[in-house]
Amino acid sequence: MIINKSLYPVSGTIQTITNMHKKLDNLQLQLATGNRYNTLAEMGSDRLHHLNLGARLNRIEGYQANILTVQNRMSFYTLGLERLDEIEADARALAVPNAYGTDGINLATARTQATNLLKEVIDVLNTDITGQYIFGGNKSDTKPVASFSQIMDGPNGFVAYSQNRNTQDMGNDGRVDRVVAGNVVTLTEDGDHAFGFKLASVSAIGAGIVAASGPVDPAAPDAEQEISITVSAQPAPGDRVTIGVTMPHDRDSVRYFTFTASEADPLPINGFAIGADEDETAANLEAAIGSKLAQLSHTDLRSSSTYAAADGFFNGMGEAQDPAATAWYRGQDAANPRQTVTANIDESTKAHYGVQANEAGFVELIKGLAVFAVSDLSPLDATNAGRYDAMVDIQRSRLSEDNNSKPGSIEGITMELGLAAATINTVKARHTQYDAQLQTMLAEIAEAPREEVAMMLLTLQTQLQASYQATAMASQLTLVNYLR
Amino acid sequence: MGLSSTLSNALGGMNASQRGIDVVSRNVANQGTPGYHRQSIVIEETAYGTSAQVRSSTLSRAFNEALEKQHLVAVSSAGYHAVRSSFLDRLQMHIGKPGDANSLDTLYAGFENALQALATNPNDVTTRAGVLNAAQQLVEQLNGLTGAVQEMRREAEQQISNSVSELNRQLTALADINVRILDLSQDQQARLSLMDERDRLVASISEAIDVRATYRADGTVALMTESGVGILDVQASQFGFQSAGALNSSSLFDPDPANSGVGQLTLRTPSGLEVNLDSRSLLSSGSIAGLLELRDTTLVNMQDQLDEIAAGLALAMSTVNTIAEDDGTGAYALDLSGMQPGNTLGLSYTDGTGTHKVRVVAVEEAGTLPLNSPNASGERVIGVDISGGDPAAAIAAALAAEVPGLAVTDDGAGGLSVANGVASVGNLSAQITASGAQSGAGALNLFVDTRGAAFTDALDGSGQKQGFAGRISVNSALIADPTLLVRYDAGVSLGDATRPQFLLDNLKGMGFVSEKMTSLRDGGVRLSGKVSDLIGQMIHHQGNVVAKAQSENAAVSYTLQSITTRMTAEYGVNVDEEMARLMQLQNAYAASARVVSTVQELIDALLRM
Repeated sequence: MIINKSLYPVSGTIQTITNMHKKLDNLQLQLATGNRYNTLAEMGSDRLHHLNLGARLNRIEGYQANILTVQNRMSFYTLGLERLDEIEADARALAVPNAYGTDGINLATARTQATNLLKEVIDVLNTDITGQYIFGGNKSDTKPVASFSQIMDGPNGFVAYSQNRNTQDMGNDGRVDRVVAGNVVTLTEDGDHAFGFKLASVSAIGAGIVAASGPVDPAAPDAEQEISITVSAQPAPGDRVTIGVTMPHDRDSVRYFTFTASEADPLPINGFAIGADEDETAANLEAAIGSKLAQLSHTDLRSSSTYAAADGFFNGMGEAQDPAATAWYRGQDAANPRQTVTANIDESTKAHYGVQANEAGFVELIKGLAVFAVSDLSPLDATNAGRYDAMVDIQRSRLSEDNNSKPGSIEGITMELGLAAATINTVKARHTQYDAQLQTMLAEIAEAPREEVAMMLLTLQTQLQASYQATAMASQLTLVNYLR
Repeated sequence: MGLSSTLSNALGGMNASQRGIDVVSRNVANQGTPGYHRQSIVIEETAYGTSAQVRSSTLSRAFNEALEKQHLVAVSSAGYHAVRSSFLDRLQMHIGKPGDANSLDTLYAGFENALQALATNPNDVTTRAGVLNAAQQLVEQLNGLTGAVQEMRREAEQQISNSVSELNRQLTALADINVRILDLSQDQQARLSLMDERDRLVASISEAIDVRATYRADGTVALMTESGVGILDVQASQFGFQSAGALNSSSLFDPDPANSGVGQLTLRTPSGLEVNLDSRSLLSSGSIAGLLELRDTTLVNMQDQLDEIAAGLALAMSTVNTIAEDDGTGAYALDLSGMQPGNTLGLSYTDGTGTHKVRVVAVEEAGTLPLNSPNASGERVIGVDISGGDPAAAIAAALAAEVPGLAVTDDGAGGLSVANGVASVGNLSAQITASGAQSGAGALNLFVDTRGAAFTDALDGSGQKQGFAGRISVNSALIADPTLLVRYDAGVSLGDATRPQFLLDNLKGMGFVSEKMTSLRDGGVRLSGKVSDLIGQMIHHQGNVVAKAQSENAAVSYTLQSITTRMTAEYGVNVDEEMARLMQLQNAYAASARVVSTVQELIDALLRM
């Protein structure tokens, strides 16, 4: 009530003293809590500064939490990728040229070793952090890679698939029809398919041998190619016929086999005897070619065929899945794997750190190990040795360190993640510094400066003491005290 | 003559001194009584036959009319500001300081950071739960603040009601005192104390409402409000307050009493005239005016700002902003099939007179049209009734009528196409609320109205935004299945951060402009910006309002105090003066008594002769 109806209402002087006391209480509260302001209204224009600073500090806190999460996951990625790099080196070590070991021990253990390594690769690619799978792009709720038994065994497993492919590649001595008609040897691919040898070229050195290859129809480049070698006249010893074929695992590189005419006995390797007449020479040539192709189909062709099967079964990024094969990869398939998982680490800075298990480097490694895992190379004999040598060749070229510069290689991925980690570290340092600066500024506004408050308390104390003294003195000065 | 005149002189003097001492004693006894005006004896010379020094005296009372009127003005002002300051002080406690655990800015920052964590790690149960938790806290604080604001409005009404009954009692007492003061035959002393009581009552009345007092020569007082409505003239008018029951956010003041949702204050004069005092120009000061201002302006502004923030939160989460692309032939096409009342379409076009911006707003009831144009962003507003079921057709018809320079067509399947005509299209965009949790768009109805209804800022009725801060809640479908925070469509992986990133970008980027402005007295503030800006502006503005109320209160109390001091100096009893006067009266009495006894001796000597 403004109108005070109480007896002896308080005078103005006492009112002022009461106000000073309230101020004293306020200062005490400031010292105790450390806050300069106790209520919203007191803050005045500092309110705006406090709001802005507070908002920015909270944002920075959010980004730092994100950075922590990202760094945690990056450490898992780093460990995984390091382990896969080691396995890549081990996979190369499985394939040492001519190292059959004592009694072919290497050939026998290659399969078991490859199986173990492949299982380990699958485990690494299925790494999870508290239930989130990190090698599947952002599809982190399912395992990116199927289990070893699902991939290998079963009606659509890799074992059956590769055996199927081997049969199709090796039939008919590498799917090449050989015909001798008079003095003409004709080799024809036996169908419009992708299996077996593909005839690439033929050339002859010698007066009596004429080599011709069938016309290539540009509209149907994969149609059956035909090569014919005509023995028009008896060749001289040393005359050569060179045939170029391509293997199922790599249709772009041509392997050349040269057959030399010879009169020596025994015949040198890849030699054909000069017969009595052109027909017999042609027949000899056909026999030499035939035996060569037969030998190749059990060694080089078989190995190449297994690699081709692996190429078909383990599809990489963006490639379609073969309907006859089990889906080995169940994760996300995006054009840019790094961008599948992003984190905001600053207002406009994002960290991209997604990895997919079907990137080129991982797929090559898996293919190489799978091929060795399905190939039974013991006991040591000429065929198995030949197979082993062919596999070694292909393995070493596919898993060599030269491929590190290709996109999607394990080293490439490691480097890209490393760049992201470097950015994150820079931003983190910036956030820490900024956070410290903002905290200082906020403290200047929001914290009670101890020294100032103490000084004000002292001043107020002096004022109060003086006021009390004056009031006491004034109350004594009244005429009533001096009347007799 | 002679001795008898001496005797009568001395007796007259003793009588006067006695009366003087009587007055001194009364003054000293009432030194502490509030509202007591110092009384003094006024001496009048009369000649009575041979005794020329007989005096008679009347009592007078210290009174300064100008000071009294100044005092009344100061008391009204103090009443007004004191009630404002005390209510707003409580309001600021609810709002809290920036950085407090329960302050809106801290809770909002927590929500934003929770979304940030979700965008980084969507496949984590804890981050999803964190988002819902932060949203729930934010919503609870908004609900709580609304409850506090409406509770204060209810309390203001209650205080008005109490003040009114007190006021009526005081007016009746004052009328009664006026009548008794008129009786000049009563004891002077009693009459003067009645006048003290009169002044006390007038001051109490002026604390509640601002009055203009006219003090008449006969001692009565007439009261009138500053705007000229008579309150007391012989007979007292009666104040009445009709309460409106429980106030909520939709109970607002309307000049038309039939539409008003709040209580009404009326004044009934003795002649039967009834005046409605709710209009602010009739009562300008006093605690009742302060309470009315709080109930109808200050607290309503706070509620509007809270509603703006709540609407901003809900719309930022649930709006799908589709920008039409030029399909190559200069035509811009949009699919409007999911449009709901309150959703908008933004169009900018250039014609011969310059660039124009148009905002088409969908409404559900034809009675809501026409809408106010232009809106706070300066765009021309066209309201379209889409209750017919095909929004595109209705909008096409409206645009064709209002903007004739463009070729607007609807394709019959819910799509709208705008092509260049005389004018050329700048850009075309639609802001449509998401229809479900798994509609394929990143937007999500995270915050909903009562019973899970989507918030679309519909303008029908009193507007969906009115009081939304009290009704906003987290969508229960999300609480039942938090994976909907990530799964924007069936079959989407839980590690896909598309939806959380969309929600975060919208929350940080979508801007709002408030249609409502606070009162000009408080600065005419209009909230605008992103949700975090809205919250910061609200806290800053309300802090300013409270600080201003408190400083005004302090200033006015200081003024009142200085007037009171002045009044104490003029009307109050100074004990030292009274004591001095007492001494003099004592001596005078003793001297006159001595004269009487001397005369007595002289008469005795005469009689002994």
